[in-house]
Parts: sequence; C-alpha cells; structure tokens
Amino acid sequence: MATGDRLTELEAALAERDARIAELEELDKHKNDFVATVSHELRTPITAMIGAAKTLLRGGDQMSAEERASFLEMIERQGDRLLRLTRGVLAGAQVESGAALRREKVDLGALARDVADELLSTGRSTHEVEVNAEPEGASAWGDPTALRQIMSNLVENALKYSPEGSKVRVGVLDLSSETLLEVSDEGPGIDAGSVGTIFERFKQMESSRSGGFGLGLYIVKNLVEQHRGTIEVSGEAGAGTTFRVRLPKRAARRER
Amino acid sequence: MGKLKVLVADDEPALRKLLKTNMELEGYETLEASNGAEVLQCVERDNPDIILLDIMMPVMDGWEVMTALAANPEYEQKVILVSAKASDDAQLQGWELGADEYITKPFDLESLLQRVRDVAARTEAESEARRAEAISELQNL
Repeated sequence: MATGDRLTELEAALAERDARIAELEELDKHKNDFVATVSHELRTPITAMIGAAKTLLRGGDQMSAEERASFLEMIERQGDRLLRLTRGVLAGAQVESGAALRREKVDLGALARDVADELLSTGRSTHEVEVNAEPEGASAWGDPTALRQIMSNLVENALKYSPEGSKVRVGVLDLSSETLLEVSDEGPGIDAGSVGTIFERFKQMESSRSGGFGLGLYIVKNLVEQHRGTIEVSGEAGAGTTFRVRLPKRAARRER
Repeated sequence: MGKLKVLVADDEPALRKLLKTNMELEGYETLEASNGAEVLQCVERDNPDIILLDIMMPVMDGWEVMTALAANPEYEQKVILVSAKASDDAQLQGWELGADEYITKPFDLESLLQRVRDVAARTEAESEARRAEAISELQNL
C-alpha cells in the first residue's frame, strides 16, 4: 500500500517538474525572441550613425557646409532614436523579466502633458496635443516608469501616424472601478487587416514606416497587461485611430 | 564611357541619403527609390547599371523586385542586396534570384564601397567586351 502511494507521489512530483521545465523553456524562448527583435531594431540607427560619421571623414572636404550639417544632424537624430529605443528596450526587458511593478498613484493628465512636452520639444513636429482629464488630477495606480512608457509610446505613435499640424487628443477618465486612458489621432486610421496584429512585435502599417521600431505597441500591451488592464484599438481606414487603455483600480492594488 | 548609374533603394531615408552621398563621392550618377514599385519604375525609365536593393520595403519588397527583374531579359542591372536579413536562407535566396552581391546590415561602409567598386568594375568590363564584340562583328561584315 505504502509503495503505491509513494509511486503516485513521485509521479506527481515528476509531472510538476516537467511542467516547470516547459514553463522555463517557454520563458527562455521569449527572452531570446526579444533579444533578436531588439538587436534587429538597433541596426538601422547604428548603421546610419557610424556611416554618417565615416561619410563626413572621407568626403567632408568635398561637401557644402549645409551638406556637412545634414550629416551631423543625421548623427544627432539617429542618436536620439537610439536613446528612445534603449529606453523602450529597458522597459521591455522589465516586461519580459516580469520584474515586480511598483504601485503608486500617478496623475495621468499631468503625465500626458509632461510626455507631450518632451515629444514636441524637438521642434520638428507641428502637432498639437490636447489633454483632458476628468476630473482634473484623475490618477491610476501603477508603476510610474511603466505608465510613462505606456503614455509615451501611445502619444509618440499617434504623432507618427498622423499628419503634421493635426491634433492628438489624450483623455483621462476616472471611473468607479477603473481609470480610462484614451489617445486619439487624426491619422489614416487602421486598415482592417492590421487590427489583429498591431500589438505584435515588428508589425507596422505599411503606409508609414518612418522611424518606427515595431516594438512600441507590443511593450504598451505587455505593460498594460502587467497592470491587469486591457487595451483596445478602434478606427477605420481614413477616420483616425483611438487607443483605449483601462487600468483597474482595486485589482492593481491587491497585486502587491 | 559615361558615369555608371547607381540606384539606391531603401525605405529608410537616413540610409538612402547615406548611400546616395557615398555613391556620389565614388563618382557615380545616383537615383533613389523608397519602395520596390519605384525601383521597377526607375529601371524602366532610367536604366541604372547597379541597384543597391533593400529587401524589407513597403509596397513591393526586394524579393518581388528580383523576381520581376529576372522575368525580363531586357533588364541587365547588377543587383547588390543590402539587408538586415542575415540568415543563410535569405542569402541563398538572394543568390538564387540572381543577386550579384549580398551585404548584411549593419554594414561597414568601407567594405560596402569595395564591393560596389568590384561590381562596377565587372559592369564596365562586360560593357567593354560587348562593345569590342560589336565592333568586330561590324568589321567582319
């Protein structure tokens, strides 16, 4: 009798261990995919930066002052791009590692204004970002760095996919059980074929690939889900796009 | 003979500018395209000698361009694929579709230039040979 019980016990322990191994293998594969994605995305800015410097070194004396300046600007812009990507990657790495999120009260309206100022400060964009918080000071419980990343990626995405001079709207709404964040643009909208894949790594709409990494929305979705929140996108081709993030209040606090 | 015409095809504006400027520094005439459809239009209209061709481009990718070029015997362009796709499979596919060189991104500018010079030298040698052949045919008439 004792032997049979012991055997069942061992089999159960073995099955549990196998399941754990499979889980870890899955996690490892996830991480490898992520590293592959990132190194792929780093290639363009690095190639452009080094190439621009080498071009100046070999041909600078044959160029006009404007042309030389344009290559220096290329180095600067690609450096900025690399910095933003690196920040995104660090946020992404945190996502993938499942590192514990901090839980703090974050004023989303203030965060949106701060992020918008930062993104528009380069002076290369003529967009307007309008922020409405209802009520003013409406906040979410979450990791400040992660929430900044979510906001930054969504607003940057809206700026990237909408025409110069158009308006990007950020709405924050305090509901009883959740905080709703909406980011809308006046861009070309999303074609039906892209809705299903927009949150996947590397998926970008063909119509505008300028300066994109294909990581932004993937990171947003992961961070939102780590907060036990949801994200959805709506918009038809030609009618602008709206991203809607719902962050639960209670569940987020209970996490800890 | 005149300057060789090099078409730089990449959807990334910074890389396009970088390659274009360096091709000019090399003394080539340059053309630009930001997707595969533009490449084919440019081939039809301007008949470039060499194409620096990115693979992952919108509208029509580099593979489709290669297939279209291969389908028309009138197109004699030399193609140098410049791509972030670094796998053996991708390179093999490039060779099978008739690429003359395969350069992976991120590329080292110096070695890219050297390979372009090699392809340019072959292009010139071939057109020289064709010219000599045409002349000897005329003389035999």
